[in-house]
Amino acid sequence: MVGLSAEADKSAWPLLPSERNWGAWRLGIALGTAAAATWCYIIGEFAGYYLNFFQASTALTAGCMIGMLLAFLAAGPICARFGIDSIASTKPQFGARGWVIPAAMQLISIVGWNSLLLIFGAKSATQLMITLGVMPAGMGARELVPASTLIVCALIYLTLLRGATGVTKMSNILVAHVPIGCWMLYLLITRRWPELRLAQPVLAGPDKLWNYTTGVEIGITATMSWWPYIGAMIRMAPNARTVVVPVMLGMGAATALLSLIGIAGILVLKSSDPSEWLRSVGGPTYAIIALVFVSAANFGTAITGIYSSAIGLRNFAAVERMSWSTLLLITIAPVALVGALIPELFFARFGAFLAFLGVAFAPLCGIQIADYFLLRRRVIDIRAIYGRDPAKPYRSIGGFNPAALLALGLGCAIYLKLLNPLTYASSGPYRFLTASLPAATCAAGCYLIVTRLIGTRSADS
Amino acid sequence: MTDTRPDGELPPELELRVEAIERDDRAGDLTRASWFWLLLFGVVTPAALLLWGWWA
Repeated sequence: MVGLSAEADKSAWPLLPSERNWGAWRLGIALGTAAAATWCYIIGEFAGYYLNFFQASTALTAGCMIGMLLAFLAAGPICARFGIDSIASTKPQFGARGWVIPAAMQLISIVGWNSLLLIFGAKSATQLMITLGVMPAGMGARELVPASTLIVCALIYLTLLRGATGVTKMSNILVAHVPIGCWMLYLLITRRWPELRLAQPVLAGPDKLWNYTTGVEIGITATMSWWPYIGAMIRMAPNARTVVVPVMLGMGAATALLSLIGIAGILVLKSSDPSEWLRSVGGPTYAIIALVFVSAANFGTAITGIYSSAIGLRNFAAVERMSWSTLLLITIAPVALVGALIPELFFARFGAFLAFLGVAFAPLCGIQIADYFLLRRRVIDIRAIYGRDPAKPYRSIGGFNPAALLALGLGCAIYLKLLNPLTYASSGPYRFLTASLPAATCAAGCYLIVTRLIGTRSADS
Repeated sequence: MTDTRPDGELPPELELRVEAIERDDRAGDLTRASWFWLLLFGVVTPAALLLWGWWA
C-alpha cells in the first residue's frame, strides 16, 4: 500500500484515490475561480459586436457548453481516471517524446495569457490604489504596473508554495467575485434594460446566420482553450463521476455567465470592462468594487494557470525532481519579466500570436477524443505513460506519432482556412459549421485514417 | 539532472503508484450518470439554447 505523500500534488505523477480528496463543490469553486477573469468580458465583447443581447447570450452560452464538452472529453476521462494532468494525457496520442508539442502549447498559452491577465490585474490594482488614495494620482501606469505585477507574482508564488492546497484555499476566498459579477450584470440589466433591449451590434453583417455562428464559435474557442487547465484541477477529484458537473457548470457555464457582462457592457456602454463602466452606472463606490473584482478575478485565474503550468513542466525529466519552490520560480519568472519589463509591447504584439495558438486546441481535442474512445476504446497503459523503455507502448516512431502530428497540422490548417481568428474573415461552410468543430472532426478523422495506414497503433501496442 | 535509471525502470514511489492504479484502473471511469450530465449540459442544453435564440 502506498502511503500518502505530502508532495504528491506538486508532482506530475499519478495521484492515488486516497490523495484525490476534492469533492464536487471544492472542484467547482476552484474551476469557477479559474474561469472568471478579464477574458470573460473580452469574450462577451466580441459576441456583442455581432449579435444583440439575447442572441449573443444564447449563442455564446451554447458555444461555451459545447467547447467545454469537447475539452472535457479530450483530457478529462484520462486525467480523472488516473489522477494525471493534461500533458501526461497526451502521451498515448503524441508519443513518448511528441508530448512536448502539446506541452509547449500549454506553456506558451498559459504563460502568455497569464502575463496578459496579470498586467490587466496590475493596471486595475494600480487604478484601485489611486482611487483609494493609497498611491498619488500623479503616478502613471508606466511606473506602477511593473511594480504591481511583481507584487502579484510574489503573492502567487507564496500561495502556490502549498501546492493544490494553496489553490483551493485562495479559491474559497476569491470565488466571491463570481456572485459580485452576477450582481454587476443584474445592475446593468435592471438599470439599462430599455437601451440593452434595443442596442444593435456595431459589426453585425447582413448574414444573420454568420453572425449567430460567430457567437457560437467565440464560445467554443473560449472554453476549449481551458484544455491546458482542467487536467491539473480535475485530477484532484477521486473519479470522473465527481468532475463532470463541476467542469460543465463551474467552468463552462461560469465563463458564459460572466461573459454576459461583456456583452451588456459593449452594447450599452461601449466598454466591456466593468472597472470602466461601473463608475458611470453606480458612482465611485461601485467603481472600487469593480476594481477589486477585476483584480481578484485575474489573481485567481493566474494562480490556477501557474499551478497547471508547473505541473505540466514536471513531465520533463530535467525538472522531475526539482524542488517545488524552484519549479514555481521558473514558471512564474517569464510572467514576472514580461510584466516588469515589456508590458505594453507584450500587449501590442503577443495577443495576436496567442489567438493563432488557440486554434490548435480544437484539433488537439479531436485527436484525443478519437484516440481514447474510438482507437484505444478506453484502454490506456498508465505504466507506459511514465516509462522510458524504447520497446514499450507509446514510443511510436522515434518517440513521435506522425498520425497525431499530421492530424494537428491538418486541423489547424482547416481552422485557419475557415476563419481568421484575428480579422474574423471566413470562407467555406463556416456559417453552417463554425471553424472549431470541422477542425476537431477533420483532425480526429485524419488521426484515425493515418494511424490505420501506417500501423502506429499496432506498432505501439 | 541526468536520469540514470535503466530504461523501463520507474522510480520506487512511482512504481508503487502505478501498481496501485493498475489494480483497479476502471474505478474512476465515466459512469452512466456522468454521460447523462455530459449530454444534458454539453448537447441538449446548447441545442435548446441555439434553437431558442434563433427562433425567438
